[in-house]
Amino acid sequence: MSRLPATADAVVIGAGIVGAACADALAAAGRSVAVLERHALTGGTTAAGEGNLLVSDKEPGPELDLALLANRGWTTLGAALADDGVDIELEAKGGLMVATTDAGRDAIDALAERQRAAGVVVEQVAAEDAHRFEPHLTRELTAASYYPQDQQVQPVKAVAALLERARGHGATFHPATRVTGLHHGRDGRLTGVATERGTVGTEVVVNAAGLWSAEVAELAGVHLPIRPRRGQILVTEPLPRLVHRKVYDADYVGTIAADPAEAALSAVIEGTRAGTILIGSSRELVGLDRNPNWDLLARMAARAIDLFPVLAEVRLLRTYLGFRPYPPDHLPVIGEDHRIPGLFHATGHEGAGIGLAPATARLIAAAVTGQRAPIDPSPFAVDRPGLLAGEEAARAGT
Amino acid sequence: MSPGSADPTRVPAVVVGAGPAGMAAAVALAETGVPVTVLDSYPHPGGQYHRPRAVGPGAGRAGVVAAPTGAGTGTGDDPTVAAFRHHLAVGTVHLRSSTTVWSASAEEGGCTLRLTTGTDPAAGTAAHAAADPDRDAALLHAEVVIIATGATDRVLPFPGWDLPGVCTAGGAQALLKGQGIRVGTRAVVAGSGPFLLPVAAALAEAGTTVAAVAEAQHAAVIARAAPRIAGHLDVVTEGLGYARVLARHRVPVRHATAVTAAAGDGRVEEVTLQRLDEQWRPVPGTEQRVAVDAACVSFGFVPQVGLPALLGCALTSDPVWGDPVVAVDSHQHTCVDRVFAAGESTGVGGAAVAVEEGALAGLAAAHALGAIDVGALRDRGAPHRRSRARKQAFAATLGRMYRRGDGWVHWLADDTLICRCEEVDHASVRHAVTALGAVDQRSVKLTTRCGMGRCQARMCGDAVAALVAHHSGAPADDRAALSTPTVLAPVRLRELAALSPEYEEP
Amino acid sequence: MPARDQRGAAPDPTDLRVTPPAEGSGPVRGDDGPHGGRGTPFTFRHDGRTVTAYPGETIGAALLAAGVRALRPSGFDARPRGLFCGIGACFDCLVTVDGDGPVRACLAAAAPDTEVEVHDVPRQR
Ligand SMILES: Cc1cc2nc3c(=O)[nH]c(=O)nc-3n(C[C@H](O)[C@H](O)[C@H](O)COP(=O)(O)OP(=O)(O)OC[C@H]3O[C@@H](n4cnc5c(N)ncnc54)[C@H](O)[C@@H]3O)c2cc1C
Ligand SMILES: Cc1cc2nc3c(=O)[nH]c(=O)nc-3n(C[C@H](O)[C@H](O)[C@H](O)COP(=O)(O)OP(=O)(O)OC[C@H]3O[C@@H](n4cnc5c(N)ncnc54)[C@H](O)[C@@H]3O)c2cc1C
Ligand code: FES
Repeated sequence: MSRLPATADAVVIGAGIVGAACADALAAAGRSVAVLERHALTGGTTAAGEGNLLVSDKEPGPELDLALLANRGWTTLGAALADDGVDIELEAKGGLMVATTDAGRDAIDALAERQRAAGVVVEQVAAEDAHRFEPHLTRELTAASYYPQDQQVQPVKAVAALLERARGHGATFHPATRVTGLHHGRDGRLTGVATERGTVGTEVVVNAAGLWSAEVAELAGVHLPIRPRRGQILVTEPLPRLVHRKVYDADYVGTIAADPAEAALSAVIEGTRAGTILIGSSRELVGLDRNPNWDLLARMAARAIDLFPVLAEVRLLRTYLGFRPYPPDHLPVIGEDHRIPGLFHATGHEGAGIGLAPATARLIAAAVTGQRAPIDPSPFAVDRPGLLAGEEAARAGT
Repeated sequence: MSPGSADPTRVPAVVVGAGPAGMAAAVALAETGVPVTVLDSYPHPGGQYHRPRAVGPGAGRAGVVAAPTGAGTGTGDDPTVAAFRHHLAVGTVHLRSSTTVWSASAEEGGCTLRLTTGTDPAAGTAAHAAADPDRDAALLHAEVVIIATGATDRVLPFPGWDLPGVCTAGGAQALLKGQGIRVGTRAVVAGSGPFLLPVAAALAEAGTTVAAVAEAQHAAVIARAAPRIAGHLDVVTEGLGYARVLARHRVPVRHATAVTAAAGDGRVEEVTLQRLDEQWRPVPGTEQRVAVDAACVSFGFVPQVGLPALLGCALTSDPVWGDPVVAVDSHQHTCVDRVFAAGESTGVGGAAVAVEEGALAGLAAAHALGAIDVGALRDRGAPHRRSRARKQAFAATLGRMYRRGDGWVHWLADDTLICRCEEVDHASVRHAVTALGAVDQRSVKLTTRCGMGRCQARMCGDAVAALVAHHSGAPADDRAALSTPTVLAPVRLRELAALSPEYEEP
Repeated sequence: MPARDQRGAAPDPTDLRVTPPAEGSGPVRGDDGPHGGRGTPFTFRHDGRTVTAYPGETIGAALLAAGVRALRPSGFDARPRGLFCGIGACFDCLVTVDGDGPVRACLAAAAPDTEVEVHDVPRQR
């Protein structure tokens, strides 16, 4: 592939959705950018992502602010790409959160209330009207709310499109180029990046290595607490559209913040353009184990059938899994590392990295160029209380 | 289940696949007194080799099948088939036909196999299962497992290969032997390997005009290795037999020739035959159009390694063909405790090798269960080991004769489909490699959907690996290290859901 | 030459059914006619036509014998597909039977009075 440049204004490590978005933003800001990726552009978690761009699953707080910013970012990006004739399967299909129990109904209603106050558009739907949105939904619902802002994208296409656009602004992309070292000078500032295929001199490194961002940080001698939280997905045969929106169980929201030590799941069901239906998802801390957990998959199938009885007769074609980059306090890490000037992290997005990518890229571009950030970046800072200290506390506890 | 009876979902030994390898394994195990459960997707035992005739007189019996790689013809008189039938009759072997292992996992103390039933397994038969829950348990725990899942035809893509009327040579053979149906009235049989001749001969005998047999390999390459097979008289005789049949029907056999395109309106109406150079690159100007209503294509066989991969068995690259195969030791033992493999899934060698491997796997499994001691394992295994070695050497020679050139990629057009299921064309695969940096089958899949469809890359995986190597200029990577599917055959979601104790039918 | 020549009747060169060579002895029901030995034929419906099949035949085989080679349009580009691997591995031959399915026509047995339909699920890239 293309030769490594001797120097670059910025090096982005990792060509997942976050790295691609950062490269695009930095290149658009006039920086010369080299994107280094050890595999191909699907080497990491992004290829496993379902491509949901959600505001609905987030409690008010910094992550929701980031999600709302990102949501607008996707809309703008999708329109701009469409003008260039590039299709990333961006669809503002909307999300429908449903409950089948009384507790679920209370949770849905309360969440909607809080989110509305934070600027999320939520339409309460009478349980008996939910099938107007989804004709195949079970009639046994207790509540439903509709989130028109929820969107969907094809993550791999989005990565390819973002990289392509970055290249149009002069960025270079180097697959099969693993970063093996980070050089810094006496003053501690970064001076360059070592790879299997040579070095690139740079004063700015964006660590967008997802799950592996901890390893990259380690190359600079600093610790970053990112661990894998595994997710499994069921994929059906291609069907005529049965599921029109993204439909999820009320306890989905609970799962994200649930005690991470325990395997958790909740049904998240959606149709794709290619006709397959994706059924997610589980959350497990099992290291990088790739053996499917069939008990969890069976429960996912059972819950999906509860919500959409028609799915009982639909065939399962395959399953896959991926590892979410998970920080102890559930907030992404975005910004310059106070310990290594010039090293910017853009990682730890757990189950929302695709959705949050455009906003992450804007915060990174602002930090690198010294411009004002569109939202307060401090909750995502590396030196926030919950991250490094949280990790130390967790370690001390065990 | 009657009180006190053992849990029917727990059995000592399961053989997956009732082809030559699986039958031989079951017989060897049963003869040591171990009760054996044999599972096979098809309604009848026999696998690809002893394909039973399903239609007409004698329907349901193991059929008469041409055997290109030795051992004459597999018939009802075949000793393995006869012994297998005997054990079925006396109940020492229990056969669950029309039963597919759709997923499996290895655990402490054995393996769990998840099963689906039905002629087309995806059709499911819930009523059936309810009627006889013991027989049709959807889960089976086995202390030892013998994998004998065979192989599928290898077809290299070419423009028009998705047209109706283009089929695999094995598929044409299966239709003829199993169903008594010819694939067409005028056909070409093309590809590479010893299997082309019996298929062409059988079609000619059945009344199809075989316009040509196109063998991609150069006659000189075949001839170079030929002296090594002189000792295998049975095979040579058999080969000559097919040649005589083809001569009698005036079927031209052309070497260094391939079908490089198929065309037609809604179905194949004509194919292009073209000469190949020694690297299998098509030679411009040698195209010849031939009118046909069928084209039967095969470039050998690709081992089915989905099940062993799920059980955690290490795969290795077949030294002759390069395909991922199950790695086994001299006892057909995989790297997973108490999991054995035999037949084509451990490397393509033909039915004769499969039978010897099966017998050895059966004996080793019996030993693992404590049914025979080391001495018996050694003594009973000795004759099988000897013939296995001889036959494996022969199969390796065949492999050398028909070693594939890599110039075939030059007959692909930009819009030639590579992945039939997801309809991904050659240009997209090339773009993934050259522009997106896809470095292996997996990254091509994730960037293009190539190999993501129903067949789980069975039809295209091999071609994609070759294309990645070709377009990246890098040597083909170790495909044995690739991730394999988690679902071996489609199942209904309710069948998966039913594995969860909380599930209630809607 | 086709085995059915033994019967003396001039074979129809377009007929893809090959009479299996007689095995054992004694007449088999439906033994006369061009497909002697195949048993008693029955019919099923396919895409609005009546198709004849013999016991033990798969849907795919019976349709091929009836001259139906294109079984379904492919999902994305609506290109015709037929029997390809013949052994249940490629999933090209999908059909629906009595509204159920899809099943693989090369494996599923033809059954009397069933309604076999084209499996047509358009897909979008
Ligand atoms: C099952 C599942 C479903 C999900 N669904 C959604 C969803 O619907 N919506 C959503 O927003 N999110 C979803 N996610 C989460 C989302 O996929 C991740 O948050 C996101 O993909 C992370 O992107 P990334 O760019 O940070 O990491 P990655 O995509 O992992 O990219 C990191 C890249 O860095 C490369 N790299 C690593 N080390 C090096 C090195 N030393 N040198 C060079 N390169 C290196 C890797 O090869 C990789 O390509 C899901 C996750 C899972 C597992
Ligand atoms: C279409 C085709 C036709 C062939 N015809 C001939 C021929 O005429 N003559 C010849 O010499 N060779 C033929 N071969 C080559 C053949 O592979 C070997 O000669 C021989 O049959 C190999 O024996 P085996 O026992 O290893 O595998 P096979 O005979 O292939 O048997 C494997 C068995 O495993 C079963 N199986 C696989 N996966 C599962 C699962 N997950 N669950 C349950 N059951 C499963 C299959 O249904 C099959 O019956 C053919 C191959 C193919 C693909
Ligand atoms: S023809 Fe391949 S599955 Fe039926």
